[in-house]
Amino acid sequence: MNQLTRAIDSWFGRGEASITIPPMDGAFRPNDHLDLAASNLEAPAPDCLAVTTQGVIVSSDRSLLRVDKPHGAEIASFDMAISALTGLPDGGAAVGLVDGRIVFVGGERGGTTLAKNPDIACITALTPASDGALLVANGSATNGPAAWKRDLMEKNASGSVWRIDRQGRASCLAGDLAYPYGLLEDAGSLVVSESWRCALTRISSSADGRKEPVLENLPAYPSRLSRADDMTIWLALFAPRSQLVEFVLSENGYRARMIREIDADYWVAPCLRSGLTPLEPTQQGGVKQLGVLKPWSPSRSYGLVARLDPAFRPTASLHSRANGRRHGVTSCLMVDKRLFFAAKGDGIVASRTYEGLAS
Amino acid sequence: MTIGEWAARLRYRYVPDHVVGEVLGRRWMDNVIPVTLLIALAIFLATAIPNFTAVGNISDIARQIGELGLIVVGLTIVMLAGGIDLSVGSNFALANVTALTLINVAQWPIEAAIAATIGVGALVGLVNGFLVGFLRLRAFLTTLVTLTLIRAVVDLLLEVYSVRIATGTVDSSLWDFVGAGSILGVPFSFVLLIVIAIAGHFVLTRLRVGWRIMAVGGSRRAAYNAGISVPRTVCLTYVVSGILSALAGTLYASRLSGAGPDTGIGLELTAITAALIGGNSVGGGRGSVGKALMGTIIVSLLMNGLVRLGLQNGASSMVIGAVLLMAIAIDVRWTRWRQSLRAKVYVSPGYLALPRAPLFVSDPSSPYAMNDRLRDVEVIGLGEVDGPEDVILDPDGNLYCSVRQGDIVRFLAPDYVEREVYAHVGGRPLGMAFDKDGGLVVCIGGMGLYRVDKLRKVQKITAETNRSRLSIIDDSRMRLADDLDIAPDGKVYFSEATIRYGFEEWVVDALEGRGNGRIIRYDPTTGVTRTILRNLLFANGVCMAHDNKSFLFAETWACRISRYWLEGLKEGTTEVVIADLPGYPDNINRGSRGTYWLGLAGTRTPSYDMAMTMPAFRRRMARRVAGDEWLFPNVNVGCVVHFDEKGGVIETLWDGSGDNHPAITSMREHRGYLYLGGVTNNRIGRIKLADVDPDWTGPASYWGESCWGTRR
Repeated sequence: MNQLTRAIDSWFGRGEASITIPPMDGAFRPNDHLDLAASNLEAPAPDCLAVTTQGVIVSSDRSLLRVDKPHGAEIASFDMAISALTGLPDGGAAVGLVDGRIVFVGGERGGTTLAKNPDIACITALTPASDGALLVANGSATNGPAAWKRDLMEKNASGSVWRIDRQGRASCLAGDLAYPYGLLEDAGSLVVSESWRCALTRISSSADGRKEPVLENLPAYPSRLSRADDMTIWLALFAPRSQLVEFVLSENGYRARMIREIDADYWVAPCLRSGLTPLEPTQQGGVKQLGVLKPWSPSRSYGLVARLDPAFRPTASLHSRANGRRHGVTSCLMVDKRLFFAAKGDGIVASRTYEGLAS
Repeated sequence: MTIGEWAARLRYRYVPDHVVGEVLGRRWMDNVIPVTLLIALAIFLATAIPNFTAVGNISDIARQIGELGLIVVGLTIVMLAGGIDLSVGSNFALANVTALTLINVAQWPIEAAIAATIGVGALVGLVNGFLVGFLRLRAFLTTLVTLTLIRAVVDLLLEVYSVRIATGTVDSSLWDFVGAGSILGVPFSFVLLIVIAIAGHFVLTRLRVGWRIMAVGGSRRAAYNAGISVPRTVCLTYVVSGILSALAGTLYASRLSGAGPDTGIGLELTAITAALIGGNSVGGGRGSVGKALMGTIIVSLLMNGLVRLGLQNGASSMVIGAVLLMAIAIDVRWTRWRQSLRAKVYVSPGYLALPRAPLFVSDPSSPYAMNDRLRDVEVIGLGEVDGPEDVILDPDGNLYCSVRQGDIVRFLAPDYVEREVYAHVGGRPLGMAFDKDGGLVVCIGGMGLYRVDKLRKVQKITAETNRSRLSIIDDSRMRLADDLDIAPDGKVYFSEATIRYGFEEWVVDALEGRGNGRIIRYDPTTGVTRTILRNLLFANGVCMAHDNKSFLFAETWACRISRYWLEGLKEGTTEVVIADLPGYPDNINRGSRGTYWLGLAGTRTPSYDMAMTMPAFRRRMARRVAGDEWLFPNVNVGCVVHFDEKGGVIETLWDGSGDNHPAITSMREHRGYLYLGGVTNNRIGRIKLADVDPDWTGPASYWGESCWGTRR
């Protein structure tokens, strides 16, 4: 009976098969707070923020840059693009590269490298565990960090979370995650942002790695998590959900052909910055009217940072809307009452004070 | 091409999906249920009852139909104006008694008696009409009260006259003819009904008063706002109903010559049942005399059949009640269901495989290679114009544009700072062209082809063309006249983008991607408008070739330019000039040195091109995704293509970022400059051209250097 109902629903496009997305309302009421933030650094693709003894640093393509220096003084550079970064308790940093290596910069392990592990080829987030080990989010079993769009369009849920101890031994904490893209230790367990499920999931510390939802039905795809001194949690959301994309996800024939025949830049899929070339898909509501792109028009990219209370309930958010210039925020960090965020889509690191902005 | 694609192509070519939605949109769909019911009932009765179709029986039924039909027609007219008349049964009885008393007792002449009876009926109607129309009492309660009052009057009259009516005799061949006569074998009452029905139909559909009744029923407030006297119109309908009831009563009197207390009891219910089952709406505004007749026939057949089947009297009332309930349910549900179903199935995407798009982004050697030449255009009238779809210049260099408010706005040469509304034409003016007398001919979306003469007088040229034989929607009216050009002999060739949607819905036509457009010719010497090309994929720009032997036209969704030959060996044939544009062509206009300019309103995108080959995907998208979220061609980029007579591309001018001129829908060359218009823009652009004839103007190209006589 259930099967039959599902078949009927999918034929008519109703029930579970109806295309709905959560509205940007409540704590997610739109504003332009991200666009009003002061720019700290312009870089090709600022991705992940971290705090080290050198202050706030950011990864951008192959280099690590200091955010507080005007031209982003380079701290280190690598032979590969960086896909994840975290600050360590000793003031150093751990850097995940797109080929799966993890390199330590500064601190007591500075200069050492953890060799690539074939099971961890898509490092999307790193965070130190309280016992000195390193927690690693592996976004996908089949796609690298650059192919995240393909991973979404393939509707994969092959990501995993690993624990690598100081001796370099890796153990898997949980699998079958839909693109884990952010990690946060919370009361002995681990909270993971699962991008393709638009949800935060708690992975218990017990051996079975039991998963339980913490926050679901987010209006955008979540990425990195961080905790501020006042215990509030900051979540970066890198692209908006859209009815059209959810529809395309439900259309297997179109999706398969799109993946096969079209360049990924021109897919009907979320992205970090839209409107770069005239070959990109557009939507009817995204047509410029009288020379103006309306902020509420549908867009495949968006800038969004959410503030969650210690129980992971959203309380406020900062936006860069369809016409904004701070899209594709993949990381955010609260340092000394200043909120830093990296808008990877627009190549900018900006910051602003935050004292309970009205949203 | 895979087998699947091939099958999809065939399926979408030969299965006319669009017909379902179009059929559901037709008004005659309202008749489907009554007609089906009537046919089923007739077949059932004819087979179930022996001799049901015998001439005698049919004639009997026809005579009863004549009487009931008059009442139903009257009631329908009341209902069309949004009212209800329950007093028809009592009025019928009153007329019966009145006629018999005047004839049998008072021995009045037949003609006078009939006239007086009808007068009494009209008076009753007037009372109803006054109370409901002028005093604004509730129709249902008011006529329920008059029903009772008149029934009381009838009973009083019967008490006094019933014996004398029964004993009185009449000797009049006229009276006998009214009651039992036939014309060519058809009972008189039925003939009378047909005559009145035809007259009623004529009044309702062709005369002012009929339209007013429909308008009042459709929406009282709108009718009032339109200046219709609602009370008078409502009152009138009750008077008509009263007259027709009285007429029916007279016929009844002449047929049976008997007055009893049960005459006309429950008749109102039968009449309402007939009116509703025929498909007239309870709420008013929707219905016809034809529906009333159909309902009458259904109810009469049913009642007669029930009697013949030997049902008890009570049972037959029960059946009538059940039919009435069904009719009410259909009235409420049918329209809504039909509208919602139509909304779901009207959009019917087609299969459209475009040729491979030129690599205008990645290949710098492509003739369409992107550049930023339109980035620094001069801007005219920024923020002062709303969507100048077309721009045109007169010999003095004044600039005209057609804007969303239904105006032709003129910017005065030489600096284009001073602005005036040249003419208000209404609708959504789109393409423009000057004729040989300096009149500005305009295609107006929602209206048709119009002309603004030099004294700024606006005149309609044509708004109607010949209707296609197999089209279900009425395609004789023009819904979206788009662009035009004028041949030296004065013939106007213009495009209608789509026959299925209006201007506000052109986006849906993009989603359909089927051949809904056409090209129409207007001949000023004969005044005849004819469609010359059909099934075009959003017919858009039209431009006479420089030698006037052919014209070029753009098909937006097909991304191609074609040529239609007007003379020579290929006369009447179409050939493709540019088959694979990188974007969606809009207007085409002449340029100097034998060239043409073409505006691209947007660029093709791989995702949309692919969607165009997957109609089912687009249909589901139309139903499941909100309109604003639909996948759409990229119209945030502006582009102008300069091409020669053979379709060879000379140069391409882009505004890739779309900061200044997204969606360029038209451009005109004038004295070395190119002027740009866009249907969603708030500005007009102007850019200096190199390599063109600096003295060339459009009007001179069409009508000679000294066109229109004087020059200011």
